[in-house]
Amino acid sequence: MHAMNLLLVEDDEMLAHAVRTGLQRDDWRVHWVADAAAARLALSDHGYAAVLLDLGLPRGSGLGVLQAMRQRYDPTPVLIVTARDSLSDRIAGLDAGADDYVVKPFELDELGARLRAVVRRAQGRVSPKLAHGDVTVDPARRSVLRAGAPVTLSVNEYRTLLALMERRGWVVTRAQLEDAVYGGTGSIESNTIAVYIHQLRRKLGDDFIATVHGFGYRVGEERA
Amino acid sequence: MKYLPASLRGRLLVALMSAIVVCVGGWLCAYGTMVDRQQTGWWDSTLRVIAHQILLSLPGDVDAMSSARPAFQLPEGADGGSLDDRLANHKPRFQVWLNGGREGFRSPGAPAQPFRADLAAGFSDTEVAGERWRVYSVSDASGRVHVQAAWSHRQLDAERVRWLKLSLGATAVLFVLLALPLWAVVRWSLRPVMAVEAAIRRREGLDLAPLPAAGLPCEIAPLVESFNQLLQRLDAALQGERRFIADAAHELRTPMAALLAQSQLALEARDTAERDAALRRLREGVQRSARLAEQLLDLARLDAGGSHERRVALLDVVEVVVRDFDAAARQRGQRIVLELGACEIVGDVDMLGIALRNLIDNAVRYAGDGGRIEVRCATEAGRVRLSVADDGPGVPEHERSRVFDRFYRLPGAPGRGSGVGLSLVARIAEVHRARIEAGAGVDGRGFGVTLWFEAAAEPPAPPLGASRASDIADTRRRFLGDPIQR
Repeated sequence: MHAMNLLLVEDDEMLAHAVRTGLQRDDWRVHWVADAAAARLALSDHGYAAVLLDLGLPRGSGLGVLQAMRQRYDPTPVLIVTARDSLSDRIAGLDAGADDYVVKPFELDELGARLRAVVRRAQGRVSPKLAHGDVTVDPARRSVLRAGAPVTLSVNEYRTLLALMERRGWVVTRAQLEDAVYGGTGSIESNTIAVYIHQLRRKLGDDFIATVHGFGYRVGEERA
Repeated sequence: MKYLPASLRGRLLVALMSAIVVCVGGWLCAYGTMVDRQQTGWWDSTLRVIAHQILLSLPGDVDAMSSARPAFQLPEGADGGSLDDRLANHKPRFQVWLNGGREGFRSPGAPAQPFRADLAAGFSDTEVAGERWRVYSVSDASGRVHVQAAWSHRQLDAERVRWLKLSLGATAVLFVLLALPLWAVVRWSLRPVMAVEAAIRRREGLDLAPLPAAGLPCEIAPLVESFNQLLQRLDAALQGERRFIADAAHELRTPMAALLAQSQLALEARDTAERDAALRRLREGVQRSARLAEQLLDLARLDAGGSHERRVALLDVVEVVVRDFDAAARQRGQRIVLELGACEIVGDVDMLGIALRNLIDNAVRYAGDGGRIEVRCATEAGRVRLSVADDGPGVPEHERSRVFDRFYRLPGAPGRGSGVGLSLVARIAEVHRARIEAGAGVDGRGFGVTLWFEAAAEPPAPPLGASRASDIADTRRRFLGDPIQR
């Protein structure tokens, strides 16, 4: 795997140094900036394979960088770094379009693994807009419209919808959905996919997602 | 308003005295006017009586008498001495006129010209020889004799002034006499308030003793009472904090000591293998201490108060928190099972995250290798039920009520827990007005914690027409009892 560019947005020098050293061993070329303004500049000048963004930047500027990226249709995968006790930050970051998160204090191994997973998922991603019925999904901007009006979806609801829309006309199994939403279940057995499907039906119309008993779910007419 | 004195007593006193002045002043005016009118009437009727009497007493041939003749004198002392000069001056004068403008006679002090030049009958006010007179003039039936009686206005005015001076003097005396008792009463009534003021002034620093509230008027009493209650709560909070700091310091000492010992071992290791092992143990110790420190911080922050409440989808919270434990659970071959519904409550996301984290952390640690952890969330009859259960060793029934106490660790259990986790969860439940219960875990084995929150109200229908149709369909299904199609 040839070296990939990573933008590290972190204001704590000691942590940044440790992360940089650790990631460089993993063949990442790390470009470090220490504040939001420098991050925006770097993003407009260069392209990166991934962005590691600390949400704890002063004055909430970290989230602002992420939001600006998505507004600009920048689909670069973003991994946010959040404080352990700030769940609301984490959820806000995911809702704003982050692909995954790590919690401080984190293990460097875990950081590396999540980065790789995020990049891998992004490579399989379809960027152009997806539409079915009166619903439009714009993955680059992470926005969902129904009859022109925006629909609010939680991050997992969105990922479920995206997975179904990307395979429109095909049946998507629960395992596939779980993989797309969580990046694999590991040790966790969950019924939440069913709940997300239910929520999506409530918000987008009952007929939007069809249940194919014994197999999974499908959006749109069955393709031969 | 800045001319008002600053103290309540001063204001009361000034207000009362001003009111008295105004009232008495007003009363004086009214009374004075009435008296004046009465007096004027009396003066006038006196003039008339005198004039009539004189007329009727005149001899019939008075017009034949000559004007130049000697007058009589009063004997010594008949005038009552000069008791006061004003009495001497306060006499009506009269003139008697005969036909043809001839003067008949007049009283001493009456001017030479007629009081009233045209000698017409009745009352009038005239000015003669530079003096003003109140005149009553009367003629006899045949018109040959005219009598005029008059008071000097100067006398009348002097009389009025005398009365005014008397009244004002009396009022002033009344005023002075009242001032002292008024001041004393005001001062006495406000004595409890002054006591509070003095108590506040005497206070120093962080004195939390309650203020004296005895005998306070009902306007101030609630204020002082609520202040005292505030002080009480503050005192309790401070005590709680002091206790907590003492406990926390105690709790942290042991893990810190272990860290020190382990690092010592690492330094003194004889070879790399031993050193690595020691460092690994040190690392575990650091993780444990870090966890305890974080929990203590959470606890302290909870105690400090302040939560940011909004609509929370517990589903999202559970999902995010549980995924954090995926790696650890996988390492130990554990299975985490989620049975979640779309549960919405009103609460603080961060706090709920902390509570869930502690519950799942406990479950994962106690479930042991290959263990099973179940997290359930469902909405039942307006309440949201959240439970975390494991199939580990569990907690005996008689200990269950105590697990939520701070720094309580299960006796006999190896010192893995910090004793803080569940007390955090209990405190967070309290902040969210949720019921919490400890009980059996998976399939009646192990340990489980259940929380009951009040479900958030249904959100308002979205504006789109199409989606309302689906909401209506949903509602119809709910009421008609059809199972929701999956």
